[in-house]
Amino acid sequence: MALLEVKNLKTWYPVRGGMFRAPRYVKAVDDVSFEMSGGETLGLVGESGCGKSTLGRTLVRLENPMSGSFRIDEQDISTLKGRSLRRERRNFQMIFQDPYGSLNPRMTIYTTLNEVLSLHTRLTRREKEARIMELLEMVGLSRMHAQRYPHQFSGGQRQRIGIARALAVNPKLIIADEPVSALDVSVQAQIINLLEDIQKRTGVAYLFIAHDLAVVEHISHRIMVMYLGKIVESGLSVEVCGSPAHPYTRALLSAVPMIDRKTGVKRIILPGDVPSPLDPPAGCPFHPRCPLAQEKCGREVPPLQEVESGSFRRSACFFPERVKEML
Amino acid sequence: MRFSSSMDILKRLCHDRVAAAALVIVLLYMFVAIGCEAYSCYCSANNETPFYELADMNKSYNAPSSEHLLGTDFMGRDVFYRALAGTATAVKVGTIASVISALIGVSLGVMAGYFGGRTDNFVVWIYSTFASMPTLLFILAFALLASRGFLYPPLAKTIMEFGRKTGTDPGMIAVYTGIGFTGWVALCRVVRAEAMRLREASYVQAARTAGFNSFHIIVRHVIPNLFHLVIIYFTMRFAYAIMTEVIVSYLGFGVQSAPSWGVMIANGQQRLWRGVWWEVAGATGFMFFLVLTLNLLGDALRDVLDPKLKN
Repeated sequence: MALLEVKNLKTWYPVRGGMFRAPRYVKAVDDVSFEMSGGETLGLVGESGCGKSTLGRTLVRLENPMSGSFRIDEQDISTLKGRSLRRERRNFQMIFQDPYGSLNPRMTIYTTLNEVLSLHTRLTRREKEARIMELLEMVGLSRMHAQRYPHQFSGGQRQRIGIARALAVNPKLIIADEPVSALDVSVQAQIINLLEDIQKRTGVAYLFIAHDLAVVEHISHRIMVMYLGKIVESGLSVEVCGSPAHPYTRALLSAVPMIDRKTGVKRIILPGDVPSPLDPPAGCPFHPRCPLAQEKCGREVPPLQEVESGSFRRSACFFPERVKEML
Repeated sequence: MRFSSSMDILKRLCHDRVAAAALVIVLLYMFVAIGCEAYSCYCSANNETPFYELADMNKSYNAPSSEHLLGTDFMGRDVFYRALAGTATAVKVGTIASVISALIGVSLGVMAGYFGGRTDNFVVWIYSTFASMPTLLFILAFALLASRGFLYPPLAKTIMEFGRKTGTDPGMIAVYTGIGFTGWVALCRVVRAEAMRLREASYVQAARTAGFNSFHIIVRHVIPNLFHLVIIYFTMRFAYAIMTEVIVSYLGFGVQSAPSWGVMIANGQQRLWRGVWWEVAGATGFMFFLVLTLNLLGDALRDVLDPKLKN
């Protein structure tokens, strides 16, 4: 039984044209389907503007989907409204990218956490206090930090507080929207380890959104690669990073910075820019930039299908076996 | 962004000598106003005539002397005492009008900025309508309507009744509601813009994903983070309301019985050509220092409170 089941999800934003023009849409998330099971970490990678954040924000209903649906724990969240949506929100929480902006500067850490606990639980004051201390310790802060204001903390500490807030109500799923990209590299490692540690203790599932493949490869069990609002490849983390089955993943991997220059792979430089999501190319969205593109790619949209029958591996490329030849 | 406690703000405010002096003078005015108000309440309860109402027809238009610091007016009342008592009227009008403006401006502005869409269109429409009316004319018209029984006498009657019960001058009620209803536009604009910005702030989004309702988010997360704007605009609005009260009372549409700087200026100017300068000068001077210090304080508060101005 899947924890999260996403079916044909579309988040399109209308763009107002002229009076007589048909409304156009930015297809930020375009027909995305996937599943996640409890306790797993699913990495979501892609470049800026590919729709990965929008997908995350849609799943926590900060954006409303245009069509399609998703269920979290068998409950359809995509159409919930008002009070029933607010009640369900305890099952899925979000960790934000910007540790400096994600805490209310006028509230102490205690107030911030207490507020969330008061909303979703019926604990007494003392029980809440105990829970807050437990949370702070869980994320590696001490009791004496509780009465401080956000500006008294460093970026890494603030991100820990953001994690504590997301954990406060025992969610089953946490959407982590680039939780480490605003942090120093050394702090990134600490936060990643903390997230893994918490997963071991609580069994929470993460949808881990990032643009840094190295980070995602490290933390994720499975990886999905997004391009122009569509998932172009998914599979086990080792497989996707070891032998990509989509030319875009191949190009992304070759762009990961390496310290050792000798063993460094040759970079694949993609020609041109990412097409506008207002006006995506016909056929495969990647074909104008793809070194393997053939005439068929411009005509038909390749479906996201299993590379070999019966495996987790899925690729939205007509020629997954030719990706190896790219170098 | 760094926020500080009110103690901290006070400390930083006092770093600037002008601001510190302005703060002291404004507080002094407030103190005098509260004292005068308490005294007039005491007098009306005990059926005594307050010292600033003591008239002596034999002493009309006396020049300033040691007995009467700023001379006397046409009824022989002490100008200095009347100007002092006028402080109470000015501060009362300023406070109530600014509170009304702030309440309207903040609630409409926050709703427009936070909810956007139709609510926003509606609020923008309302404040554009208000902004396109000449404020003073609106206040004068409102004063006529409310205190002179123009067009709709029952309204004036209700206000008269209300004024009698609460012991306030009905003209004054008309003035401060009039000023309050027109003065919220500027605040509403900035609050709307700030609320739009805060709606996208991560901590507001975090509150939404945590499952709080809009009311809670607005009260706990949005308003506290734009409250510095309210304080700054409140101070500025206060000065403006006091000046407007003086103008409206000067024109004879405002305060009727209570001592008011505007009425004093209007009375004093009749003999100004004969060299009776002290009544006009006294009232103007009192108003000038209050408005000046309020403006200085408002600017200093803006420097201290507005995070955008911090280097």
